[in-house]
Amino acid sequence: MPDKNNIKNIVDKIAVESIADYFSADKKIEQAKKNIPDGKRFKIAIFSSFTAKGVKEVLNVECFKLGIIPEFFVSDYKQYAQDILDKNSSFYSFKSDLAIVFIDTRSLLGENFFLPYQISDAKRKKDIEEKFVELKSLAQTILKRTSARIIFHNFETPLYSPLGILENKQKFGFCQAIEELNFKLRELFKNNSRVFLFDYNSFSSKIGKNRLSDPKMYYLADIKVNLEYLPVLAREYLSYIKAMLSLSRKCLVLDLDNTLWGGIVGEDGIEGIKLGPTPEGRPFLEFQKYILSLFNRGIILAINSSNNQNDVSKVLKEHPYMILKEKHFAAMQINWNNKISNMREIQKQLNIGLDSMVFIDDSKVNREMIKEAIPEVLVVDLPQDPSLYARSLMEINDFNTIGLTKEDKKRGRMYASQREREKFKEVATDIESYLKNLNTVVTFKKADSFTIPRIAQLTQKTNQFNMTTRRYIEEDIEKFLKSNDYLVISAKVEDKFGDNGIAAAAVVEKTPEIAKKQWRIDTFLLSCRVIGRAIEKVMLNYIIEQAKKEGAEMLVGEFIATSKNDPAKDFYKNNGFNLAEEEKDFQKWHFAIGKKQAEYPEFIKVLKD
Amino acid sequence: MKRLLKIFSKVMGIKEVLITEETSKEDTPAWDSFNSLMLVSEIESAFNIKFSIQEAVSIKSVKDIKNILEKHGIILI
Repeated sequence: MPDKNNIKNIVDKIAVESIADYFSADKKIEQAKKNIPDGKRFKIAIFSSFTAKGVKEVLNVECFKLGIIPEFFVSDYKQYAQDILDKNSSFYSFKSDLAIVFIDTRSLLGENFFLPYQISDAKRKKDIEEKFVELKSLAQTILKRTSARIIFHNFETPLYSPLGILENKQKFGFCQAIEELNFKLRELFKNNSRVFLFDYNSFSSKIGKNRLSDPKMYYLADIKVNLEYLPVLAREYLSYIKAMLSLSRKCLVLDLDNTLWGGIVGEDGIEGIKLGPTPEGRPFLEFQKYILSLFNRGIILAINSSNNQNDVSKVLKEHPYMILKEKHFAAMQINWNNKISNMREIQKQLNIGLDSMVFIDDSKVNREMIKEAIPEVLVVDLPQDPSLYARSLMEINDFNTIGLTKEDKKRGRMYASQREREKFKEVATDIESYLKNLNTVVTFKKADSFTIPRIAQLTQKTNQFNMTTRRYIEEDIEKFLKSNDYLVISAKVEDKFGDNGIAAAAVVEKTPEIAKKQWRIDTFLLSCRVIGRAIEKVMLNYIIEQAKKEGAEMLVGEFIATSKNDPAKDFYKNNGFNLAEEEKDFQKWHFAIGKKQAEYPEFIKVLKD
Repeated sequence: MKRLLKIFSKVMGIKEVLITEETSKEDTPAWDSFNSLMLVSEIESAFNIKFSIQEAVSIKSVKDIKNILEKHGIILI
């Protein structure tokens, strides 16, 4: 492990206001890196068609601030094609985790950027097709020869045309050519999980194409991105990097008064607050709509508000323009406690990391308080003007993930129904009747192409109820299936409060031994949101049933202790297994199948495919 | 003048007290072509002006910068 304190000391001293600060901070970091023991470095390769000096420096600093220790390969000026195509280039010994490919429109078109109509429409079409093939082969070469992911820039559409207003009347115009290229690149990479097309054209529009590049800098040094905008560009790259390194955040904690609606409900009353299709109400209405769209992509929502519970309940239930309702919130801390303890309470209830939370509050005092007390939480500096709320939330790049499984999308909903489940548990007289009244349905499925991504994800992310904590990627699971020696299963869990999606999985190796047929449970895990509901018992019995069907006589269970999987510790012991071997953190448990029948608890309905 | 000195010191990595109007490209080893551009970029954003390409090329000393800023209506004291 790199020395965390050491990194923190350096980071605390870094104050970057302008590009020159990045260069001096970069030097300090390079110096500091020498004292940080070799550990996992995040290796980034940068390829560009122009002078991209500064990109590495800014990215180095920004990564470091996040606790990532990057290492760089910067392809020399205009050497990108050679460095990628030559298999002996040092890029390939570098073994990058990420390759950024930034080729700009001018370099791509060369002479034809200024004289686009010196060639015929047909030739232009052919040319752009050729360029597309070249770009495609660059990307594919990287994919084939490395395991890196790629951020591939698309192309800025030109702001001018020699034909002026007739540009869009051409058979295959100059601007159209670039648009078509962008379109084709998007199609090409759409289904490739390792390549991300970075919409540089939109990015430059956001900044303003004429501001983003300074012609003077271009003529003086072939600089295509004005130095002062490099930090903004680096921020875009960080959206991907954070997602790749699982530094994403997944929970949005919201204040209410003057955040989700205008005014103070305790004083103005439900009729008096500003929310709805009026000039002052619409910013809040649309802010809520945007938050709902985040919920729909899987972000967990919570409330942290100083208010009377009844006032808020009334708004949530009765206000005609309230977009966010009780059913969207996974935790609601509405009281007069201080917001710091509320925040910790929410964290406890949801059982997620503080570093996966984002806090939104219109009050600067509250924001500073949280920043100070819980620095792990990302606090959004909401502008004074509510009409800018939505935009400032859209700027947050911390909700990105490199993929989105069906379960991810449902996450917000699942946590919200968990709150209802807990409420239900409080009113239930005993645990038995609680479980009985949940109407749980567990559906077992043997792994297939639809469930493999989620199974791999569960092995990557599950820490608590995980017998062996073996991490697998999708390719590993596919290998298991191909070999026919493995049974890989997933369990979908539903109840009357909603669908938890695939929440449990197991990998079982069918080892046919001479004396007796043994099945080894390689992986057995349960997502933390379904712990305590006997799902694990059901899954074990399903495995017993399958083993029996195929004539196995013995089940071998393994347990590897980690600092986090205490909840799984006694599982085999409590389910009739006998300890057969023990060595340090590793245990082997045996279970004779014999005549034993699978026993499913009455209160769970089991479906098998 | 203080602001200009601060920028210059940051870009070239030398202490502010060592910089005078006479400080020039020749006696500043860190003043290479890239740092020259970075200097222009920093001054442009700090003073909210744009240098012309001729101005950018002509800068050879701190005094040159001061003169250009004056032409843009910024008097350094």
